[in-house]
Amino acid sequence: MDISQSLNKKIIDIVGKDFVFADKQDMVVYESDGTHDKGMPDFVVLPRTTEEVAKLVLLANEFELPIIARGSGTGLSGGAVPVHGGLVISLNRMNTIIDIDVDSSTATVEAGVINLEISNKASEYGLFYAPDPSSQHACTIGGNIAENSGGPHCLAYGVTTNHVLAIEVVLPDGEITWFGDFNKEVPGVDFRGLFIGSEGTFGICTKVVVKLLQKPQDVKTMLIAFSSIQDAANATTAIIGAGIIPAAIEMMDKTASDAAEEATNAGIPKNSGAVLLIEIEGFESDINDQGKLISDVIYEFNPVDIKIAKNDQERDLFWKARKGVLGALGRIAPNYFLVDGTVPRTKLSAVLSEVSTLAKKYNLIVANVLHAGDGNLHPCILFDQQTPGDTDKALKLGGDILKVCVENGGVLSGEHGIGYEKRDYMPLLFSEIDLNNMKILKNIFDPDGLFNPGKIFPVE
Amino acid sequence: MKIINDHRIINTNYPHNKNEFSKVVKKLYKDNQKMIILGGGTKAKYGNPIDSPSHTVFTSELNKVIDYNPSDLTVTVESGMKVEFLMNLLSENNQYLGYILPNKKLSSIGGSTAYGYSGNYRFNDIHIRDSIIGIEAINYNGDFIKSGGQVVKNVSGYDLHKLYIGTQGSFGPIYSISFKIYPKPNYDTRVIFDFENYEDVLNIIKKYLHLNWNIPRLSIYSTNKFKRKLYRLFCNISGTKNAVDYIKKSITKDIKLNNGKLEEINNNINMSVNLDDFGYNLKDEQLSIRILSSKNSDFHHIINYFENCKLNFQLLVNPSIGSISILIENNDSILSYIDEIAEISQLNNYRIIIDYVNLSLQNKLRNKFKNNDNQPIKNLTALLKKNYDPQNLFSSGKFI
Amino acid sequence: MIIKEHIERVKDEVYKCVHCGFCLTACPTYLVSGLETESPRGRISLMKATIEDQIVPDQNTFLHWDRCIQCRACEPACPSGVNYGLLIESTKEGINVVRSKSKLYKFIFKIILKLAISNRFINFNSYIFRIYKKFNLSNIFNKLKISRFLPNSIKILESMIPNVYGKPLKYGSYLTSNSLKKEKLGFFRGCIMPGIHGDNMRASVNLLNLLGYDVTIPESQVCCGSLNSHNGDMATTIELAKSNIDLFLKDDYKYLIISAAGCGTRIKEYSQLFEKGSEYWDKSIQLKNKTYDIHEFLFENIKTPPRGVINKNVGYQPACHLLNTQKIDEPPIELIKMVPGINFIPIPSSNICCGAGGAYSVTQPKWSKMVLNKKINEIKDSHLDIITVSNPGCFIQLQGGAEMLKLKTEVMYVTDLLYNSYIKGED
Ligand SMILES: Cc1cc2nc3c(=O)[nH]c(=O)nc-3n(C[C@H](O)[C@H](O)[C@H](O)COP(=O)(O)OP(=O)(O)OC[C@H]3O[C@@H](n4cnc5c(N)ncnc54)[C@H](O)[C@@H]3O)c2cc1C
Ligand code: SF4
Ligand code: SF4
Repeated sequence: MDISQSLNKKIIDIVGKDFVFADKQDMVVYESDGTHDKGMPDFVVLPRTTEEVAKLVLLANEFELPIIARGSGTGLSGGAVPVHGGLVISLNRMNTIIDIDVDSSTATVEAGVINLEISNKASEYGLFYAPDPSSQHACTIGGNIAENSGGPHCLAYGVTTNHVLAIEVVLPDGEITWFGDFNKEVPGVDFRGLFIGSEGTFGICTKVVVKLLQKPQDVKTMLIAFSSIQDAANATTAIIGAGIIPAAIEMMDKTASDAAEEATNAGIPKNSGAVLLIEIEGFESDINDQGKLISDVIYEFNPVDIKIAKNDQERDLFWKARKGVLGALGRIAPNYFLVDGTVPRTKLSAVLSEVSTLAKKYNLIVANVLHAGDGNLHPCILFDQQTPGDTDKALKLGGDILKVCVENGGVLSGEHGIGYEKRDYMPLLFSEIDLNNMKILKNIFDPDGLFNPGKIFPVE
Repeated sequence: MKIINDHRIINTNYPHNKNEFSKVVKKLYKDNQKMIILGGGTKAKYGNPIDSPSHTVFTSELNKVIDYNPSDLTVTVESGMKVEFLMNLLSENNQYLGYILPNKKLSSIGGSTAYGYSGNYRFNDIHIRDSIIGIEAINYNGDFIKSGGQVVKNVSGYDLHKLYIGTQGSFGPIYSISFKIYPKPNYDTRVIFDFENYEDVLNIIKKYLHLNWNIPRLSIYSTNKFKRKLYRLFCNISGTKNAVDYIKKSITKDIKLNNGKLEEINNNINMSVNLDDFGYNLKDEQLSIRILSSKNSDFHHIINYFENCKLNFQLLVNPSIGSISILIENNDSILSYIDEIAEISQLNNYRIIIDYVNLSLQNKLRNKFKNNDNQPIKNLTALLKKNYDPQNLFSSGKFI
Repeated sequence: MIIKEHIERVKDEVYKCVHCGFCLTACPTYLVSGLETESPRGRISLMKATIEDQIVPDQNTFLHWDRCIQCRACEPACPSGVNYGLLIESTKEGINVVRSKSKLYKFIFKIILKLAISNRFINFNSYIFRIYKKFNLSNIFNKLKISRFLPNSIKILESMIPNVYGKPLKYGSYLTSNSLKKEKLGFFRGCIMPGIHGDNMRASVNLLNLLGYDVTIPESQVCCGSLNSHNGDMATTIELAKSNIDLFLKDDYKYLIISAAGCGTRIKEYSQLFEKGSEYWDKSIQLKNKTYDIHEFLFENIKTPPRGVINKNVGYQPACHLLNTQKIDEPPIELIKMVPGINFIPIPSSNICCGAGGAYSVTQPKWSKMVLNKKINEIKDSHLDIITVSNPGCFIQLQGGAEMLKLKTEVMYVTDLLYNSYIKGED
């Protein structure tokens, strides 16, 4: 029996034969995530319990096999792609909502639970889980932890790390421990905070305690069309500058909004230069106050059309259009490279115009989708992998856009993580000393470097 | 020898700029000198007393604004800036941090960060660990380490800045800090109610605790100075005027149903009112501790205990933060009570933090309040210390 | 490489998939297994890997495609607009060609499909089922300990043998007694329902009569072809389609009404079988424009709601082929709500398939049951008196599940509920 066979047997002993894949014919479906990056695993395994995960980690240690945690594979940085092969641990079977504690407004869930399921379950008690990545009906909370995911409503509520109180993790040495506390100000090292956003390189998260919030009494959702993307960007900056923080301010440029409209028939005015989707929350009188303040600001930027969602269905449709827009771009080109740079909000307009100059220079279509309120750009470079040379061109354009972001005081990624795709851009933002310091941290958690190798750090 | 708040100051340094700061740190480290970085020195009493003798590096001259564009709603300042200065600066633009850091006149921003406590007075569910978006720190080589940045959403690389929040300088000095800041709500109100029964207050708290619309922060205040048993509920409500009025009305109604009595309303106080009467102007004869719980609003044991003991105390329950701050008059018998308090806390899985204590008592309390970290966490913490401070010179003995 | 050729025909559709994963949680087989190989994205990845020569599909790969229920819940979930139905049908056609090289398979498959679409067989099996249930053969088998020797899959099948309601529905014309006579309707009979759910189907026809329509069920209609196309037998499908198109395009029928969602989808999608612009393509579009599912037709035409009060907690499990392909979501619910006294309670993941899927419960009994279990447990937790359905496949599947798990909830057609209320109201 060769090594791989004996390993296979040992894995089966841990999780049972129905939940192991070792045949490449099957494992092609685990080669990539939401990006076009690829890597073939040696094994894919779906454990059911934390203890099984720990046993698998020990086994992988014994055989010096890389370990790659995988949620729903919706990541947009190649994070879950096993670029060096290894054992892919898919957490999709660990999907139980263990407890909802109404009194202290928390939920305890397994890491494979789908983000939206938490809110669905909590809604029985009038509660919800705030971070809402556009992929929230598909991505797992474990993936959110690994990427410190954001979402449209993070403008008002903050990102994943602000809503996760505690996590259970299996450390690279196979130990199981909890990080964090229900209380947010306990003294000591905030390991929870260090782990969140570590992209699967510090261990595997198996359980999560999240904070739940009470659902707003009332919501108002507006769709505002502008004649140019500059107007929309300036309006965004002006709203925030005026001291108003709505629940969400999202932007789509013409290319993006047209594709979204085609996919959903949500009623987005066609041929507008850009649209903003603004949502305010509160209760009636408060919303009216806020709404008035916002429209006062907006009118200075020549809106061409303002639509206010008449009911929940229309509101859901507006959001479906926005949240599905990346997929909808598949109607224009089969591949996209999504750049996730984030800039200070006052730089939005300047950076967007540089992006459009660059797109022209490279002769590629760039669709802009933005978590505008947070300054989080998503220029989406459209290309066709099958056209020779296109992929390289798209990647280069992406690099140039990131350079512009950094030059404007921004960063490489606002919510998708560095992963595999953006690792070589890290030196744009970080000095060698910075990177070395991060490596020290990585070494402390994972001295053997088996957890998600090939990610975050540029190849030397 | 100078003494600040009981802390023996030897060999002081006052770097004036970034480079001087790094040079000082580098040199001291090379010379194998134990050092403590002090801003206002107000937090020196927290935790264990530091191993002496040590060098003291004061950040008081590092007090510049590095970057502040109000429309970005972010600000980056040097770590020695006084809290009050920053608050005033933000206030000029109708902005604020989201909380009022304790002891604002004396404390520095860097010290507050290292302390990791955002004070008893909140307007929203915002904690310092959530509002810091970037830190530039200095390592033992004198190199600057950057983590995070000046944008509100950032997942580029590890969140190394989390290492410096709440760890008392154990991993090295902080040079600058970037905050996510907030527009000040244009209206606010403080309403005070009195209750005779703790259960009644609790009902109210449970109902309003997790509302996310410009949440009313609720604090219960109890003291045996009153002739009769009394719980005082402070509600801080902020938002648009309509919002504040609405919440005020609905809370007042509920409170009446729950046997509360309206005591006082302060309208539009512009967030300027501190709970100045609580915990910020301490005297040497006082001990201030904070008890943290993991389950909100579950503090019966502690409250009961104090109401029945012979200490003179004031107590502020802050369920929205999950903490009780307790001010105890420090007399000779206090040590015997401390053991009991530690035991109750151990039993209920509470954590205890010392916020203010005089040096002689601090020495006696050394390691009294155990933290029940498990082995993996202890190991990791030790490894962090070893890697980021191999010679154990930063704030040594303080908390690791 | 037969499979590869078949997939390459729909290559553009394959490459429309940007593997965003949005479809995962819409897919019943993924939800019960957590396996990407049993998900829409996984199945498409396997297709992509095939055309890119990364894999050569084998029996095991076929299994992943076979386990697809073809409920097409992945389509509305997909923001890229991937027409998954087209992909899986083309792939399965390829599989079928490969499999039909095995003589035995070819033989069995032919018989099954031929039988399935033959009218005589429909009546015949209804008798068999009737006898089986009437004499409680299941009990007798159990007593004789025969069932012990049956393999598990057969046991599951055995437990799924449906109840029979009334005599089969006959061909012919059913005239309205309503004085306000309206147009003449053609009625599509389908294959399962008329044999075993004769009573229920008569209720549907009666409802149409009540509204003032004359209904004709022409004998010359043939099977819609969906069983064939689901299993990749496109040649027969096209043959059947042409025959139905020619029949129902005749002016005798103002509209064509269908009470089985699968047939409805197949007929509304006949155009996919023909080249764009060709004669039959044109004709199939014309037919599509006059074809209605019974629920959408009733919803648009009922002017006077029924009056008979039914005080029950009622839920609704939509048929995949109404919801996902014909996009008929609200009408059945609105019909239910028309009935006075009803307390409508939505069940949690009603948009997820129950695992019936045409012949799926027969070809993939284990997976069908996994999907069904999840569904039944949700229904159980919703504390319903009645769970309504809009399609015979769903009816049989849910009833089987309800019996197996001893559920107190009654399974009922939406149309029956409505009809009962009308009858009750007349008294
Ligand atoms: C159309 C579309 C829209 C999106 N919109 C947003 C958005 O608005 N905001 C946003 O932030 N993101 C967005 N994303 C990106 C993606 O959905 C998130 O990054 C999400 O958190 C990934 O979750 P997942 O379960 O799919 O993780 P995966 O993609 O499976 O994995 C992502 C990373 O997490 C690691 N990981 C997964 N589970 C664990 C675990 N249990 N323990 C440790 N590590 C783990 C993996 O190793 C990998 O590095 C979008 C993606 C798509 C396709
Ligand atoms: S939702 Fe559509 S594009 Fe996304 S993975 Fe599924 S089929 Fe592909
Ligand atoms: S048709 Fe249904 S079973 Fe098949 S892949 Fe789509 S959702 Fe899954």
